[in-house]
Amino acid sequence: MIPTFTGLLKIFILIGIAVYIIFAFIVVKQVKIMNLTLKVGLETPIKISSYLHLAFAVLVFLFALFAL
Amino acid sequence: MAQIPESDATLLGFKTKNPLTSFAYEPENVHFIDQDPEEKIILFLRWHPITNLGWILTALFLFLGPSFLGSFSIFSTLPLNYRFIVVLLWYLIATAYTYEKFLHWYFSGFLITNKRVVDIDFINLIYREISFASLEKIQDVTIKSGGGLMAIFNYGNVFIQTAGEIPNVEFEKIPKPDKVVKVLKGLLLQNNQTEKKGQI
Repeated sequence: MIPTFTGLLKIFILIGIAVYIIFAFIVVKQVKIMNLTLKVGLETPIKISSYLHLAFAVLVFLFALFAL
Repeated sequence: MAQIPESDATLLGFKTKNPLTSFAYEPENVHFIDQDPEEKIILFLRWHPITNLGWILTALFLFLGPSFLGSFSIFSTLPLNYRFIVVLLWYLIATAYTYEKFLHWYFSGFLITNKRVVDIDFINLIYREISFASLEKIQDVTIKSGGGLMAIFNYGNVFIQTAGEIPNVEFEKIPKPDKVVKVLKGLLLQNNQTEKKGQI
């Protein structure tokens, strides 16, 4: 079966978002390390923002998986 | 160990708990890795906020970008769900760019304590560099400042030359470099006086 243009596009989009999720996960880890390195007073909001960022990426992936 | 210098009246105005500050004198809410219990931070510095203008404008452009996507004919040919995903992807990339730039500025800091100077460099998301130099090892301090923006907004680089194999430390794009050098030289003077008293 020859994949359609939109089928191929969906695969590329999913791969792209999956790579982005890995990046977002690395951001979470690095924010944790940096919060230990330098404490200035915004540790909790920055940590929460890194998790929200990861969650956003996962939600976009799930949307792309089921809606495309 | 140098005693904390007598508070300069002009520096007292820079005592703040603002976590987004670029210049804080004796900040109470700042701590760094490997800080000794008796070690007190005298100055906490970051790049001057004006250095963020470039990426802030770029981020604004990125977040407004989807408004112009309709101008591209290929975008209009895509089904509605694909167009939505393309917009979401655009915002993901814009968020990544903005977030990375903010974290780079937020976590890159310079500290002067009563024992040493610390340079925390958050190079990128997977690489950081932390340099320490004891006050005893500091040989020379130089201000490097040039250009219109640096003159208007009073920021510059402070180059700290250290002895031996310890790498030199450079405080880059920090506000009020003159005050920073004044504080540093005061600490070095006190340190030298303390050492001489110890030798007598």
